[in-house]
Amino acid sequence: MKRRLDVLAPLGLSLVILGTWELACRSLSVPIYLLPAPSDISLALIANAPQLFSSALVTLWAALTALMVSALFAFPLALAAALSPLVERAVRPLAVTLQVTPLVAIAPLVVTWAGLDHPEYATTALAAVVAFFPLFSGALTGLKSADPDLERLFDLYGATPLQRLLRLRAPASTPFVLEGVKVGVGLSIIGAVVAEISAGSGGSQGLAWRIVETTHQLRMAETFAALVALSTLAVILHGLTQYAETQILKKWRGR
Amino acid sequence: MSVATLIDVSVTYNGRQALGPIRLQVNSGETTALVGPSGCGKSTALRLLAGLERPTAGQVERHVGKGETAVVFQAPTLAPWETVLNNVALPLRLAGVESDVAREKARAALIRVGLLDAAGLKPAQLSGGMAMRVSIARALSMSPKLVLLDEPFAALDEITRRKLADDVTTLWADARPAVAFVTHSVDEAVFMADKILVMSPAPGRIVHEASVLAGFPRPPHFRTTEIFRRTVEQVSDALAQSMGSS
Repeated sequence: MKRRLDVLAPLGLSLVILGTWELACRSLSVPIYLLPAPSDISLALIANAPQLFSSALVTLWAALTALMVSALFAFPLALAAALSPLVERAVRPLAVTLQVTPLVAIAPLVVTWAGLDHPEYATTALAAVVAFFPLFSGALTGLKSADPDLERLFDLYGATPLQRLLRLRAPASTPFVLEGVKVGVGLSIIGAVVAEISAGSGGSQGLAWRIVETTHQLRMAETFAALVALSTLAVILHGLTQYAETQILKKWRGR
Repeated sequence: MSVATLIDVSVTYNGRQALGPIRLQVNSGETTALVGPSGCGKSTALRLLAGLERPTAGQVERHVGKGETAVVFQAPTLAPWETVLNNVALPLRLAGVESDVAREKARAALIRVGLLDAAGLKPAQLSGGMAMRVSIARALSMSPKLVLLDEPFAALDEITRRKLADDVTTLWADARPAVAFVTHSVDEAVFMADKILVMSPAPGRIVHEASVLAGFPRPPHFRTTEIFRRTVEQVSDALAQSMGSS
């Protein structure tokens, strides 16, 4: 019963909001180029489904590539920082600066560097930049999270640095790395969208570009349809990583 | 025969004397208990004996090879991602023992603590008492010459800790390594040790030494015997005196 209510509550609220929205649009005859009714948006969704789907794939691909690229830098750096306090002191301020600088502020720069012909480079680069910090920070925290008494046991039994890394620090870091990946996935989507919007050209065919294009032409129903597609993509991705995290952790700690 | 000795050792943390000077010898076949108020440096003494820490002054002599020292901490300190069997096999694996041989020895150690059935479980699936047993099995797996226990049962309930104390003394009775352990409980010290050292408040020194002249494993109903009660009283008095004198 409680479980059913948990599912029904958000569903019910959404229906109430959508219903009110629909009614308001109809009774006040709001023009469709200002605020389309949910029914208009649904029609636009259906009519543009194939295009939205391929755009979603573009954005998804950009985000996932970015995540890989980011991980290629973040994990080795986190490892180096975990092994050497000097490296950590050197890297951390830079990583933090990268993290606190608003992405939109550096987007135009990166878009310019990527060139008008290759906006997809900018998308990937910017998404990689935002995904970097959670990946790096998660891995570094995780690598240093091992129980100090377990570390002492490893001292006691004369473990080599490699044994310590493979048998203690790396496995101990698992929950933190997973959390970093989860946050990183969400941020990489945001990064890809920000880059597409900054690029402001049709060179990238992602969902954000659909939003820019349709708002410029006041095709608001399609804008909303693209927004729905974008949120759906993000929600599915979050759900999948959350599921993967739970499953891996279950296996990791045995329950 | 001495396995580890602290000779006029003292330890200072940030200019504050935490322990000593103290003289302490741990012999093979002998169980030594360190009893004292909180913060008197008992655990520091244990870490010195383990070679995990260096003294500020004095000398530590250890006659044990690499991997021959085992430590049991207050918490079970198991790797949560490894199975019970792999946790017990860990010291052997770190010493470079083949995986099959290590697992075989780990199984033998688990049999000795009565937990072979739990070999495939993860630490999160164990009760507090079971986890502590696994920790003890891990300490046994290397057939250590020196076993150090830092308040090993402090986090357990009274019934479990009595049962474990019973089992542990039986386990030592076979191999008789040198055992040193720290405890808050006078009762536990007298039950488990041949020699009880009472320490003063920080900086801890040894203010009283008591011997328990009864064999291992302890006879049934040892806690009701005259020798047990007399020693408990003697140690409690010394402890009260040491705390009153500060």
